[in-house]
Amino acid sequence: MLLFLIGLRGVNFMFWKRYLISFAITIIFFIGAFYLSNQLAQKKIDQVRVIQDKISTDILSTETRFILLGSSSCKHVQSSEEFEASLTEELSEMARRVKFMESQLGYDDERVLLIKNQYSLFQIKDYLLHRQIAERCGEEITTILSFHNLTCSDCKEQSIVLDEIHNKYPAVRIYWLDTDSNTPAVKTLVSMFDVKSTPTIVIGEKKYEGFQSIEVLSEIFDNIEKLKQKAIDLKAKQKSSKPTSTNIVPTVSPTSKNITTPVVSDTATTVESKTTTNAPEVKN
Amino acid sequence: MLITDILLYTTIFASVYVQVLFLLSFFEKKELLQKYNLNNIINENELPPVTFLVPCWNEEKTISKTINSIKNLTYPANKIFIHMIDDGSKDNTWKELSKFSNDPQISIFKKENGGKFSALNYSLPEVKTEFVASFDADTTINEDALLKIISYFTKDKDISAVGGSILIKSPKTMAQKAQSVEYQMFSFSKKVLALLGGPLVVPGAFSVFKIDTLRKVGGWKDGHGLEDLELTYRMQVNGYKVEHSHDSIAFTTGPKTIRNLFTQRLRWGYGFLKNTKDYKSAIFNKKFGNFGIFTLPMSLMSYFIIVIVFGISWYNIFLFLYDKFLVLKLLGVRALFGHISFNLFYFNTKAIVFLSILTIIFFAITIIFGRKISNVREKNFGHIFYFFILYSLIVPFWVIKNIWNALISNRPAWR
Repeated sequence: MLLFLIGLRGVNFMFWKRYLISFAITIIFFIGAFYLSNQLAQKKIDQVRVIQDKISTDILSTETRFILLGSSSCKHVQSSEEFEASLTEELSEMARRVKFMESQLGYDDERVLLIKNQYSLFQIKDYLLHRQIAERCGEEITTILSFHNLTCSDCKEQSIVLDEIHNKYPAVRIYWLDTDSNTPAVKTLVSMFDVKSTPTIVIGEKKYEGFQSIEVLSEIFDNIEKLKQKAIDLKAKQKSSKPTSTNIVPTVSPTSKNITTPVVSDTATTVESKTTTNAPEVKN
Repeated sequence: MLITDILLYTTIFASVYVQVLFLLSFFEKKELLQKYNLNNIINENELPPVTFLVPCWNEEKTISKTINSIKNLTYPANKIFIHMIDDGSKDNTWKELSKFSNDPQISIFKKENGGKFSALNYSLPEVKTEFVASFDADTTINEDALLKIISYFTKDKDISAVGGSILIKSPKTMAQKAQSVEYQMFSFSKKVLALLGGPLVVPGAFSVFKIDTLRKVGGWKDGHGLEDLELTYRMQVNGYKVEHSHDSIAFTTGPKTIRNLFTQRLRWGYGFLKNTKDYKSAIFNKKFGNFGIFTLPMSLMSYFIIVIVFGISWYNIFLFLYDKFLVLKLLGVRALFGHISFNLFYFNTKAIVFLSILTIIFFAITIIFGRKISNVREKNFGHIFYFFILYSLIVPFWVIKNIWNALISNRPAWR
């Protein structure tokens, strides 16, 4: 740069020619590198959008199922395991890619912010729909809400642990929510669960503040998996003997349900309490 | 953009710029490479006599080899004189030298230890020839090297000094293998700087000077332990033309161990920084042509580029290892090896990656051309691997130490 400025001041152009040409070539190399990088980033963003479209369609399907519940009973609108598993995988792939794009383009890149925003909304919508379906029909997907942000010290550790949880329990659906996000829905969720610090994770509806180790989380999920398995086994047994009582949690009547206002104040009905109360109930 | 990003892109820009300028200058002036080749050599009778000055300090083992190497030169024997100067050696150097006392070609001198520059100056008044060659006692030389170097002087009367190309003699240790690649690169950069008319240094290991010029500028000086660099600076600042003979090859041993290499570079770095400071008025001074405008600032800048580039690379390696450490701490050993997926999506495609690849390509070209112009034929490409590993690990250390030493004027030991 300095050479260039001095170059402009110089009288003898022939002497400076070499320096100026080199400078121009270097600039061309730089423009080329940045152009190539930008093109590839755009390609990646497009790829992420494709996944996003898939997620969007899947969530629409879940939503439609929920609406159908208004006129039909739970057993007629059951979801398939494959469907839920693929959606879980898509969401986790999406999370990974968004995280990677953040590291590539920076946290304040507009394209990244837009994708992150849409992704957050998809997650929240999916989460709320599933909670309501669960309340209505007891069809349970184990979920983790992970509240995190850039500045928090233990978030990195927590995300490493949660990634491992995803590998260990592929059926567990993890939602990543950046508490610094400006998306109103994320803010609503933050106040809904009264998240004061990060990392905070919510499993089912139970809140855990601060870093949770792989051992602690594994224990929780082992119990849930076990209990769930037990519940399913018993349910199957019960079905064969008493085919009419399939509703495990008969809470709210279908007509009074409102999609847009989720019931959150009632934290008594956590996943654990539900499953634990279910187990003895069916024993009778 | 982060501050480290700005710093990194600035330094990458500077180094790409320098490399582009090198290659551009090389291709622009390529035909000059042929200008001084042997076909132009004048007939044998017109060859000027040359005196070799060989300072020896504890070199009992290498002396006879060195003398033989000089005697084997394709050059009329009656036109070669050798001054062997014992600079107060503590071993049997003097005894070894005494064996040659009856050789009419060889004069031997003994003096109190006073450093290489003082040994070179010691026999200077005794030199009767038009040309004088400085030569290291641990160096051997290709047979045609002198003939080629002399052809520069006979072709261009304005030239006052010509440096030879130095390579590493049959490298054995890892440190020497790494150096062999480095010297091949030097070969290219020295040539380009000479083509631009501003070499950084004519190597003390093998260079030829016009005795007149040498006497006019006052012979060698201590030069903070780098008498060859200081002399090259002084000659150019005084307007004398300095050249580089890329195919006049001399072989030096090079430090065997990494520790010795480190010590050598502390000496070089200290000498470079201190001498450059002494001649700072020449930096960016157009009066001294490309030597002032390019050679000095570029050499100085490359110091800081090295610190920044390696600093940031290390920082990134540290971050990577820290992530691995976290995984190890949180999840145990098994998690370190699981879930490796190769998805093109996750390839880093930041601009810096492409620019780094470009820089590596430039490095490769430098090595290839360096080998080509110095006629290196051994296909020891494995040495390049040693070079990158070893130098990326230790260069930042010695560069930082050099800067520190220069700042507090702590002159490192010779060996």
